[in-house]
Amino acid sequence: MTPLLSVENLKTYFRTYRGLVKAVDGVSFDINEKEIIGLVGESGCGKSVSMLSILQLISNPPGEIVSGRVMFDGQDLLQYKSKSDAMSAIRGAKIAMIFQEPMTSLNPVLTIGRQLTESLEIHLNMTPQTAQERAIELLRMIGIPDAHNRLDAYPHQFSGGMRQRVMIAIAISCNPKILIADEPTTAVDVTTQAQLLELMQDMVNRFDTSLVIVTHNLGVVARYAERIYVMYSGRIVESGLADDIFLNPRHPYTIGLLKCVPQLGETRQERKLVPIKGLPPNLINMPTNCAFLPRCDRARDICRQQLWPPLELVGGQHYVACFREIMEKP
Amino acid sequence: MTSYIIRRLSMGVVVIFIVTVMVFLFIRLLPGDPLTIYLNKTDMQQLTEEQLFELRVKFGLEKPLPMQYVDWIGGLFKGDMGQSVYYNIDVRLLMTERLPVTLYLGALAFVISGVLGISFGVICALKRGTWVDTLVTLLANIGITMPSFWVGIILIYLLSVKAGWLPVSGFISPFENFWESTRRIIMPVTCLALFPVASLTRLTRSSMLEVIQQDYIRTAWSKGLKERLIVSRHTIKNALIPVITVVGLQVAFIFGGSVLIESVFNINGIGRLATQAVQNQDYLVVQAVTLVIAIMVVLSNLIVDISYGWLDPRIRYD
Amino acid sequence: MTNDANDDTQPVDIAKWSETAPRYSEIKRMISVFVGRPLPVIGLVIIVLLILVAIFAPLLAPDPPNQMEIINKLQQPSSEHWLGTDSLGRDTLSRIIFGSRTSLIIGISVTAISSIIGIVLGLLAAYFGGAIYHIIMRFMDALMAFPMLLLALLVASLLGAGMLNIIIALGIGMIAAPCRLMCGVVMSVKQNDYVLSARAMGMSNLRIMFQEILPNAFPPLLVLMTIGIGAVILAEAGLSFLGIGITPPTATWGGMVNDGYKFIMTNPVLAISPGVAIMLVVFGFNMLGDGLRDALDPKLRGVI
Repeated sequence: MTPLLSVENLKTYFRTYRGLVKAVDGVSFDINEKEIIGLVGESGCGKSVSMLSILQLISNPPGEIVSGRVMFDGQDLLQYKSKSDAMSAIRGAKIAMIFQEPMTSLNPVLTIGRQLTESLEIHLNMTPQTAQERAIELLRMIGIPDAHNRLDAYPHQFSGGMRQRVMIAIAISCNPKILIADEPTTAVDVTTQAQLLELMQDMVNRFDTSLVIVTHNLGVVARYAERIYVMYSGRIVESGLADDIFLNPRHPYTIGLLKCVPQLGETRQERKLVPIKGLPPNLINMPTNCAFLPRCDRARDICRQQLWPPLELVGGQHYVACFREIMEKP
Repeated sequence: MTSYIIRRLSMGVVVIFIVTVMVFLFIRLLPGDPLTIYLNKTDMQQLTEEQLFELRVKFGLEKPLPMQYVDWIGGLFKGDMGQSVYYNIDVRLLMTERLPVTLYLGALAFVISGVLGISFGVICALKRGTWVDTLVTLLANIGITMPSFWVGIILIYLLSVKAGWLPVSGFISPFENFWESTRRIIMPVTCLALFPVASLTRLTRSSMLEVIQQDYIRTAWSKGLKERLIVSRHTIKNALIPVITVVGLQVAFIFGGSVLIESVFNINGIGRLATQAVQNQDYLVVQAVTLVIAIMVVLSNLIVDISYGWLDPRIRYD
Repeated sequence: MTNDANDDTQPVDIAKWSETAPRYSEIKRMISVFVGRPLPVIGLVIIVLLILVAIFAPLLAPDPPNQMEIINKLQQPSSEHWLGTDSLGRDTLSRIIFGSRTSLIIGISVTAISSIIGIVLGLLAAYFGGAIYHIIMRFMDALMAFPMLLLALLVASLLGAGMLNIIIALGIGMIAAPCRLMCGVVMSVKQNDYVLSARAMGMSNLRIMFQEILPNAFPPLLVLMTIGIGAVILAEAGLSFLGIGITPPTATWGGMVNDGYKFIMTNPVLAISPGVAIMLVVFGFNMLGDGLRDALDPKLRGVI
């Protein structure tokens, strides 16, 4: 089965006055049809940037997609110019996105209705009337009461959770193949988080859409994701089925991440939550060897001598980029 | 929205009150006898103490200050601005004769600066980093530094003295002879509009650049909108919000500029009137001009603030 | 979320990983942003030159500014008088050089005085709020309603000519901007967590004012003042041009433009050259202000 979307060796760099930031440095991953994927990593590890790069939403300057391919429908999306019509025809219609900040992601001076209908008018050639009807339908679907009257409301009249629901409605409105949710629940409270995730799952099931959930919180993806990619400082360090990652984590970073997720029904005595020591590395002047090395408590001599470890298959669909795992393959 | 308008209007009333008090006090702060406001220096010297006292009573100068203020305001409502000691006519007549000229030039300069300044700013922001942006931004940076009166002189030198294309100075009503009138106002209007155009260009550009970086613009791109629609629907309206706030300042600036420009081009508007009145110590005229200009600035600020609600729904619904 | 769980966090060994993360000083960053673009540097150079010219005017000027040689009046530019002479036979270049003193003294003193008054009023308005806030702010609105030049004209007509009076006349119109800015900054900073925490820590209001609020208000004020100096120099030139400023024979650029205007047909350089001086200086202050704003603006951090 060929994947729906396949990213190959993506590199996105930012030129800052301090130096070159390799935010995404050779990332490859696949998204299959009707699949829910989790992309996990600490803030600043490049997960958002890699998603934005798929749709070429990186502002240049300072950002630049240096190399890589994004294969979708037999086409390399990176061959299109960022502002080209071909790229616009993909955005929103085939691949849609939800962003982290519901408070600032909607245009404050346009009504909710206007912001919902415009993509319908563009991508599905709907007339203003049909678009409006469809918008009301969508608002109902995402659970906004009194949808008819809310079309004329402005974003500031909605709560953060409501705005994020509207963002979901906008993203799903043109029935895209892939929905990318970039930390969709970070800025809302815990109860709203769960509701939003349920809503998203419900929506992608209903529309047969693939979903990518980008998050720094393994707990968020645990219930929904079928496959998981773990990113660290611009690279993927481990990937596999959700079960592989949760039950049999191999990369010390993933192991560390799991240790700081509290589990239900667990008491304090049974297991201590252990934070990962240190902070993610500065992405400027990165060391050429494994970026996790300074924080790793299982490092070997080879980790200091060699360049970045490659991503290697360790069984099934499970890949790990760690010398320790590669050398001590079972 | 209604409560917002009411709040703004009441603030405007308070500001106009403070303006009138300031202008009123200005006259009272004049050195020497307050009668200087109403009389020529020569007249004053010829009068006896008794006659002076009678005149004080006549002008209400023996009353306490607040009462004098009330009298003055009451007179203003009836259109009574007193007599010009220099021209020996009603200040009101002087104003009705001179004000339209200034308003005509000022309104033209205002519209031109709004249209050009905002368009230039938008173009620069969209073409950021290209030679168009570099050139227009540099011109705008130079435009805000040139003294308008000096530009006027240079224009006269180049276009009138050297090239002989435009008449040197003077003003003719557009109703009298539209073509001649237009030829005469090209240079003064250019000078009046120069600074506002340049500063609006800079402001619009930076405001546009700021809006372009906002999350909701990224959302718009992610929805697959074309650049044209993103600019026209999503960017400009947001970018104009901070631009609109300075429109009131522009109005004040254009009036201030008319003081200089009307002198350079020998135009009999209220700007030149103010200068002459200061030189002639014709204080009631100075007072009237200042008051009228300040009130017009307050009113235009009021209109701006209210139209704000139209641009920004966050204000409309609060 | 993950942070919430870190209740038994151990002290983190920073030294271990910070070797790879070089530190950057704020000042270094500001300088690199400032120097990274040509216009602010040009502005700074112009201003430094202006200050030097003003200080060393007697050494630089070929003639004393008021030395009249009636026989040599209205001369065209020559090797002896680079920019010619005016109607009283005074050397134009010398008068421009000495005029820099007037512009600089007025520009700086007006901005300094009006900023101090404006800052104090703004602090009072923001600090006390309520009625005092409204009174001060409406007063500033009223002040802003008068075009600066007209206000200066008015005050100058009250006080009469002279350097000090012109400083007062121009200064009144310059109070409103720093007052509003200061008030706005304080109002927003007041809500910030660190001020709330400073208050929670029992810091006195006065200490909060000076330790927390002023450092935050300083960058935008500095920018405003830099650009304000340019605006004052322009306004002063306008007043002198109208003949209502500094009393002759003190050399002022605006006055020189006015004098030269009468001879625009025969000696255009008389009116044009002092205008160029005004322009250069105002350009210098504006560009310096822009450069400072970009360098001090945290929003641009990392972008440039």
